[in-house]
Amino acid sequence: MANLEKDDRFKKDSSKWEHFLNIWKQPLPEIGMTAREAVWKKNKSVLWYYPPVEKKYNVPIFLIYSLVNKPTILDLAPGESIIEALVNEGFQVYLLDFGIPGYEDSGTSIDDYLTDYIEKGVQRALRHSKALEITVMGFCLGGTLAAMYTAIADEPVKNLILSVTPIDFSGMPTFDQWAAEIKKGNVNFDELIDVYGTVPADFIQAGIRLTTSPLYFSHYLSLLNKADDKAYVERWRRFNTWSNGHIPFAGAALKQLMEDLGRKNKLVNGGLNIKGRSGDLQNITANLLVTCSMHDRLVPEEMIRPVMDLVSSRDKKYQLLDAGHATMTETGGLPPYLKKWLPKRSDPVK
Amino acid sequence: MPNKSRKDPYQKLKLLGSKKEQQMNQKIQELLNKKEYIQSAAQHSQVIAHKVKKIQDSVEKLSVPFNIPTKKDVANVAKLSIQIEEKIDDMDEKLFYLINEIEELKQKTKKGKNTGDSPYDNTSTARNNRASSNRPYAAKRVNEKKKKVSSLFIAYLRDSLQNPKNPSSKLGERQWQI
Repeated sequence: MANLEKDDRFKKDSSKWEHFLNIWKQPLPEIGMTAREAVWKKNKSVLWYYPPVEKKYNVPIFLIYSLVNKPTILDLAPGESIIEALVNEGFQVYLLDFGIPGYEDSGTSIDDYLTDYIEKGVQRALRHSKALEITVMGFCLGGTLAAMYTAIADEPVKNLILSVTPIDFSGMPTFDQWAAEIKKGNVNFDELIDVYGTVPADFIQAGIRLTTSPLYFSHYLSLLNKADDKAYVERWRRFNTWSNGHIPFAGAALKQLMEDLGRKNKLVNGGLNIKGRSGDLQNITANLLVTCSMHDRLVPEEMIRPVMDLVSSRDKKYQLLDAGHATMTETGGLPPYLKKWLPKRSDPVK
Repeated sequence: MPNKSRKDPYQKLKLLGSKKEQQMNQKIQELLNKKEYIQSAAQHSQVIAHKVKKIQDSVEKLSVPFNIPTKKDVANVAKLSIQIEEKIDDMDEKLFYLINEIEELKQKTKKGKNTGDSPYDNTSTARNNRASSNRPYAAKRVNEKKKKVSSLFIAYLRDSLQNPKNPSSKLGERQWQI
C-alpha cells in the first residue's frame, strides 16, 4: 500500500517536471480579449473604448495606467480582467494606452502627458460617450498622473480612484539613503538620461527589480509547484509577460518626476505647476477612493496614505487590501469594495 | 491538508525558495543602500554619460561625410509628423465644435418651426415663424407691405426702360412711405 502511494507520488512529481519543461515550447496564451475599439489616436497613444454589455451607468470610467509598463494587466484574459469586470457591470470604459515612447519622444514631459494626452483623452471620452461627468481611475504611477490631472482639470471629474498610487515621495523605506542623497542633490542622473533621450526599458526594469526583488526566482518555483494545472500555467504566463514587459521612459518626464516629486515632493509640499496651472492636490473635490495593498513592496502605504489629507474631497474612502502590487487587477470580477463604492456614484441609468 | 502540503516536495521547495529569495534580496538591498555605493554609482553614471555623449557626437560628425542619417535625423522627421498630427487634431476639435453648434442651431430652428415659440431661438426664421403663428394680423400686414413695394419698384423699372430720360412715374417719398 505504501509502495503504491509512493509510486503515485513519483508519477505525479515527474509529470510536474515534464509539464514545467514543456511550458516553454508552447506559444504564449492570448492577452487582452475584451472587445474594444480605438476612438482617438495621438502619437503612440491610443484611447480605447470598451463598450458595456448593457449600459447601466451614465458616468463612464477613464483608466490611466503607469508609464513604466504596458496596461495589459488590466485585461489579461476572460476572468482575469478588471476591464471585463467593469463592462460586465454596465460601465463604459475608456483606457488611455500611452504606447511605447521612442527616441523622438525624449522631450515629452509629465506636463505634456497631462495636458496633451490625459486632458485631451478625457475630453475625447466625454465627447464619445456624450456623458456629463466622468470617473478617472489611475494605477500606480498612472494614479499619480490621475491625481495631478484631476487637480488641474476643467472637465467634470465626478470620481477619482487611485489604486496603489505613490503620492508622498519623502521617504523610500528600502532605499532611504538613496532618497536622502537624491534630495540633497548629491546624486543626479540627468546627464545620463539626456544622452539616452528615452531611458531604455531594461534600465526601468532593473530599477523596479532593485526596489522590489533584485533576485527573482520564486515565481518559477510557484510555476513548478502547479505546472500540471493548465489554467494556473496560462495565468502565470500572461502575468509573467506583463511583468517583463517594461517600456522605455521619456527622458524629460523622468527628469521632471525626479525633480518635482523625488527631490521636492511637490504633491505633498505644494508648488506643483503644470503649464501655468496649479497642480495643488487641494484643488481636488471629486469623490475619492484610494486603495493600498499590504504586501506591496514597490509602493508601500506611507507613500499612499497622505493623499487623504491633501485633497478637498468631502466624500473620500481609504481601502487597505490584503494583496500585492498587481493583485487587484488579476482577481477576476470587480473587487467587492469597488462594487460597493462605484455604482452609486456613477449615476445609474433609470 | 496541512500534512499533505508538508509532504509535498514542490510546495516545500516553493516555500523554502521564497524565504531564501527574500533573505538574499534584503541583503542585496542593504548592501546597495550605502552612501559609498551611492556616490560611486553617481560618479560612474557621469563618466558613462560623457563617454556615450562623445560616441554620439562622433557618429553625428561621421554621418556628414558618409551621408547617412542618424537617430536624431529620424527623430526629427518623426517629430514633424507628430506636429502635423497635433494640428490635424486641433482642426478636428474645432470642426467638432462647429458641427455641434450647427446641429444645435438646426435643432433650435426646427423646434421654433414646430412650436412657433422657442424661447432660446433668435434667428430670423424663428422670429418670422413666431410672428406668423402667434400674431397672424401683424404677419399679414408685413406681407402686404412687401407686395406693395415690389409692385411699385417693378412699375418704376418698366417706366425707366421705356422712357429713360424722363420717367413719368416718379417714386416719391410719399409712395415709399408705406
